[in-house]
Amino acid sequence: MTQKAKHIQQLVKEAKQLILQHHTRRNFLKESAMGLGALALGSLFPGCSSNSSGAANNFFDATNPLAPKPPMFPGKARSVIYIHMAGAPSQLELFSYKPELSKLDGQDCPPSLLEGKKFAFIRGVPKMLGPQANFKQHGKSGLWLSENLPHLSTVVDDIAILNAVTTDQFNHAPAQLLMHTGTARLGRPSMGSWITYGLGTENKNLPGFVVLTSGGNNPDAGKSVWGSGFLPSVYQGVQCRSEGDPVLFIKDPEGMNRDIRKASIDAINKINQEQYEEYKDPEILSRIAQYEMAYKMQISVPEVMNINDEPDYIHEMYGTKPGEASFANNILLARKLVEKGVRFVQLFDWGWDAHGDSAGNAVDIGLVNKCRIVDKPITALILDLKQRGLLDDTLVIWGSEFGRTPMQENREGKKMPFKGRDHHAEAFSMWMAGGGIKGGTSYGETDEIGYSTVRGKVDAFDIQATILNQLGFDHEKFTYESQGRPFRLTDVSGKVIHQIIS
Amino acid sequence: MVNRLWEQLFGFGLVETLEDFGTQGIAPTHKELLDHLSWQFMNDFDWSLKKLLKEMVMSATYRQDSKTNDELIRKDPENKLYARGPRIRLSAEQLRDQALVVSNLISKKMYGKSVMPYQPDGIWRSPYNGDKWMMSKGEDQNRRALYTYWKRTAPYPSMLTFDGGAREVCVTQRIRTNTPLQALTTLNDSTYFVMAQSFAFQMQLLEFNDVKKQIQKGYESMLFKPISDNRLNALVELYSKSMITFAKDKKAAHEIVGEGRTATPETAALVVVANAMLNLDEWVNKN
Repeated sequence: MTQKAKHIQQLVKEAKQLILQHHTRRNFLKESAMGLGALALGSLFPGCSSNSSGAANNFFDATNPLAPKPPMFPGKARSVIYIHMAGAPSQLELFSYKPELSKLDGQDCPPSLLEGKKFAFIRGVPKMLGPQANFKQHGKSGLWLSENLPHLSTVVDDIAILNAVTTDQFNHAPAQLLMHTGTARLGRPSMGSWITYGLGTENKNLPGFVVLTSGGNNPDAGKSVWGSGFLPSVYQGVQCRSEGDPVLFIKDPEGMNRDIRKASIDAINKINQEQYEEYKDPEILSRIAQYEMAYKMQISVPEVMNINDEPDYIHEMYGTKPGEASFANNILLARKLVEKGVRFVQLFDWGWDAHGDSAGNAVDIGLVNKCRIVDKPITALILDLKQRGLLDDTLVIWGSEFGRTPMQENREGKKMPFKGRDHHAEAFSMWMAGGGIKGGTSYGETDEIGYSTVRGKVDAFDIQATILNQLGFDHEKFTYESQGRPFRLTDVSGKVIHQIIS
Repeated sequence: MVNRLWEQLFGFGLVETLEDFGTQGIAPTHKELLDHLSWQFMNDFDWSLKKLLKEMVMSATYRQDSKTNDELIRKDPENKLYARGPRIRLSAEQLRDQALVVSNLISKKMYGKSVMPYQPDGIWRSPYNGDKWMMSKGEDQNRRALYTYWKRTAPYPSMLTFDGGAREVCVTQRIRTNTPLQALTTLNDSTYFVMAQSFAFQMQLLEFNDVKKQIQKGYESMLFKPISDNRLNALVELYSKSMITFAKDKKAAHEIVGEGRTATPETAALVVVANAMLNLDEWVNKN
C-alpha cells in the first residue's frame, strides 16, 4: 500500500469513529433527557467538551437545565460570591503600599511614564500624588493594608491579595466586560453563566445565578456583565432587587391572594396535564413543573430576601438595616443565598470612580466614605462564612475593572478641585478568600510607585482560570460550541494562579 | 434561506446549525429536500419568499397533527423525521402580540419610532447619562413587540426572559428555554395582567351572562377549536372558587378588575380565569 493510500485509510477510520461517537452521545443525551435522570447526564458532562465533534457537544438539557452536575474534577469551592467595586477603587490607598510615592508627591510626572501611554483623562504633564492613607502591617502574615480598611485588616490571614493585576482596557464598560466575560466587547457569556451552565444549581426554588447591585447605579456595562451570551438564556444572572419586586414579577397582581393563585396554577396544570395526555410531548410536563416551581419561588425568594429575621448580632456584625437598599444588606443576602445553595452571587457596588472632580470622587474624602460602607460588611462576610463552616467551599472575590494612576488627574490639563486619580490599566489589586485559597498570602509586586508590575503579573484570564479551577474545571477544556467553533471563558489564554492556592 | 424559513416553522432547520453549513456544522437531516426546495425557490418561485413559505405551510408534513405517542418520542424525540407536526414554544415577540390581539388591545399603528410599554421601575439605572424609561401613552402602550424600545445594556425584561436575545451580537437561532421566570412573567407582569383584564371583558362582550359560554367562546377565540369538557370544568371550578373570595372581598375584586370598570365579583373571577387561560401550554406553544 502506498503512503497516500494508508493516509486515506487512516482518515476514513478516524471519520468513522467520530460519527460513531457523535451518534452514541446524541442518543444517550436524548435518552437521559427522557428519564435516566440528571445524575447520568451529569457524569457525562466532563467528557463532553474535551472531544470536539460539532455542536452536539453542547451540554444542555432543556427539560432541566439547572439540575446540579458534578464538575470535571473535585473542586475545592462549591459556590462563588464575587464582589465588584464598579468605577475602580484606588489600589494606592488600599492595598498597595508605596512609601516612595510620598516622596514624589507634587512633583511633575517624569516623561518616561507618559511616553506612548494613553489615559482616559490625563493630558500633558500631571503631578505625582502621594498615597492619601497610612499603611500598616497586619496579622501573622504581616500583609500591608491601609487605614481605610480597619475591619478587613483583622482578617488578612484569611485572604490572598493579588497586587499586580493588569488589564488592557481603561474605560469602565469594556474593562468590566473583560473581567466578567473574557472579552471587552458585548456578547459573550459572563462567568456566572458559565459556572451555572457547568454546575447547575443546588436549590431549584431559587435562581442559580443571582445579581445584587448597590451604589445607586447599575455597572457601566449594564446587564451584559451578567448576560448569558451564546449560552441558553436560562443561565443569565437574575437580578434580585431590594426595592420593588425582589425578582421581577415574583409578586402576584394586586388583589390576587395566595389561594386564588394556587387555584389558578392548579387549573393551568390540570389542563396542561390533559394536553400532555393528548400530545405526549415531554416539554408539557416540563412546563407543569415550571409552574409549580414558580409558585414555590414566590414563597422562597421573598423569604430569602428578607433579612428581618436575622439575629441582632448579625445585623451588628454586618452593619445591616432591614428595608434599606445598601451594600451591607446585599452582602448579608449573598451569605444567605449561598447558604441556601445558590451557585454564583454577583455583587456590584457603584461609585468608586475617584477622579477628584468632586468631594465624593476624591481619594481622601469620597473613597474614605465608600471604604467605610464596604469594609465592615466584607469583613463580616468572611467571619460569618467561617463560623458557619461555609468559607471552605465558598470562593469570595473582591475586585474591580482596573486601578488608578499614581499621578493626580489633571482633566483637560487643568488642576482638579479635589485629589483624584485617573483610570490605570497597568496595575491594580484584588483579593480572594475561601474556596481553597491560601489565606495571608500576597502575590505580585509593582514598582516603587505602583505604576507597572514587576513580578507576579496576572490578568482577567488568570483570575477566571483560577476561579474555574477552584470549582473543578479545567478552563482550557470547559467549552461551548457556537458559530462553528468551541468557545472558552478564558478565550486563548489564562493560567491558574497556583501561588495563592492552598 | 430555505433552511432558515424551515427553522422558523418547524423549530429546527433541516441543517440544525443554521449559522454553519461547513465541516463543523451538523449534516442535513433531509439533504434532497433541502436541495429540492432551494431549486424551487430559485427557479419556480423566482426568489419569492411568500411562495416558498406557502409551499412549506401547505405541505402534508407541516399540516400533520403534532400529537405524538411514547413510541414516537422514544424513536425520534426531536421530531427530526417529521412523523408528526411541529410543536414549539412561540417567541417572546409572538407571545406578546398574540395576547394583545386576543385581548383586543393591539394597536394597528405601523412605522415610526420605538415605543416604551410598561416595564417595572429601576431597570435602566444608567450611570452618567441619567437616561430614563418614559412610558408611552395611549395606544403606544399596545404596539406590536417589534416596536418596543431596545437598549442593549438594559433590554426589555419580559422579552429577555422568553429568550429574546440581548442583541449584543447577531444570533441566527434562539435557544428555547422553559423556566419558572417565564411562568411568573405571563402570570404576574402587569403588561400581561392588563391583557387578561381586557380579555375577560372581551369574553363578557361575546356572551352576556352564562360563564360557561363565556369561557367556551373565549377559548375558541384563542385557539380556534372547541374547548374539551375537562378543560371547561377546570376553568369553571377556578371561576367558582374565585367568586367566593371576591364576593367577600370587594377591595380585592376592585384591584383585580382594574381601573375604569365595574368591579363585580363575576368580572373579577373571570379576570382570574382569563389570566389562567393566557398561561395554558397550548397557548404559548404552536400545536
